Amino acid sequence: MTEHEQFDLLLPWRVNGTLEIEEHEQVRLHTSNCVTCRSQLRELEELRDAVRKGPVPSFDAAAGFRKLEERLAGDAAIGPVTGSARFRSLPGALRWLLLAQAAALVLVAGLFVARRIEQAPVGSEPSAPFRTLAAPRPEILGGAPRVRVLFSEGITEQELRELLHEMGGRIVDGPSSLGLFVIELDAGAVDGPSLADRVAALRGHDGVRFAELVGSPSTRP
Amino acid sequence: MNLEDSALLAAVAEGDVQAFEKLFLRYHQPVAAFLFKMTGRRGLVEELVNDVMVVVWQKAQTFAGRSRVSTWIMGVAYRKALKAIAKLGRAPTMVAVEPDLLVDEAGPDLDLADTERRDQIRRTLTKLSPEHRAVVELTYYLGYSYAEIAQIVGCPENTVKTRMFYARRKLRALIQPSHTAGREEGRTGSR
Repeated sequence: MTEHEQFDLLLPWRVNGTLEIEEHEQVRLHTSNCVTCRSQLRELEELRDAVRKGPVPSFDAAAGFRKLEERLAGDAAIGPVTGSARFRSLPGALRWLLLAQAAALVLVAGLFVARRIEQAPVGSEPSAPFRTLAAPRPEILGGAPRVRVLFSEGITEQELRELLHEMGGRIVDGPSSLGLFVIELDAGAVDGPSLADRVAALRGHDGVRFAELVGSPSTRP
Repeated sequence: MNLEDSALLAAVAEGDVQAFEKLFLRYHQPVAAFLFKMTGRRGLVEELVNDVMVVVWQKAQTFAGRSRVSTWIMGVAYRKALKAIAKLGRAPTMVAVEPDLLVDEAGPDLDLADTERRDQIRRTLTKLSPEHRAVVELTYYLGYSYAEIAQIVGCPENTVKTRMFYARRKLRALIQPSHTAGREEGRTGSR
């Protein structure tokens, strides 16, 4: 390839101004002495203008995002790559091997538990349940109801604080990949039949797009 | 807040929906325009943009930072465009665009001859292969360097240069000869 041909290949990017300084200078020097390249530059400038100034429809980005949100919310399979997604992407043989290994571990654990039960003295009192230090407190696990909530995009921190205060709740988890928060309601404030009403009121709040009791069937406002 | 693309993508990898929305809004128009120019189908573009952004949402964790975020996203768009074109079974065509939807890029001082000339060039662009057209659009509509285009389309830099060379040659052959002042000089390059 001749020197001229090498420079000719770079001309398109001299015209869009993205050549590195050294390349740009070399091309500029060559072009100043090459009639053919100067002619090519004019052609390329014409091509650049035709492409840049060509008609392009305007697209509604905000509407596009709303559609995408609906699509993501409607398809639970669409989410950031997670451990389970990576597992599904493994080759079939490797997946079966891992499953078999997991099954073997479960079997061994089951045999161990069964043996411990057999060895326990008949009629003995059940001991306190095992709990790690990091485990949630039993009173939280057992009692206070929790609500899964998706707040509106425009809600301010102040509004959020007021809303939490009104409903007697506090955020205990979230946001999830879909922006969901889990709110634990104050058990004392929501005892009895008023719980359903409180959740309904929550759904009616301007700052809430979605609310459901954790463990209840999913219902949209 | 004007977060850098890489910071936004890192937040997206953590499942941050607001960061994802920002990234979506930032890239919607260039991705949509590129897909429109590649496929020539306005009705297809919104769905394709969403396909691209679903991949961004799902694969943000796999972004290794070896390229700019914009080239990574455009690479996804490029592959989606090629698939869509293959599915359509034919090359993109020049389509009628509703006048009220046009982004007004042409100034009022353009004379008729210039306008016709540009229309002719744009019609001829639709006759290029998708791979060649992509290089032209990425260079002149989106302003990428050949090194960035190589990352977007996933090929060596020299291949980008030769694709552009063949695109220019085909355009020159198809456009009225009176406008081709320069003559090519016995090139024997290969793809």
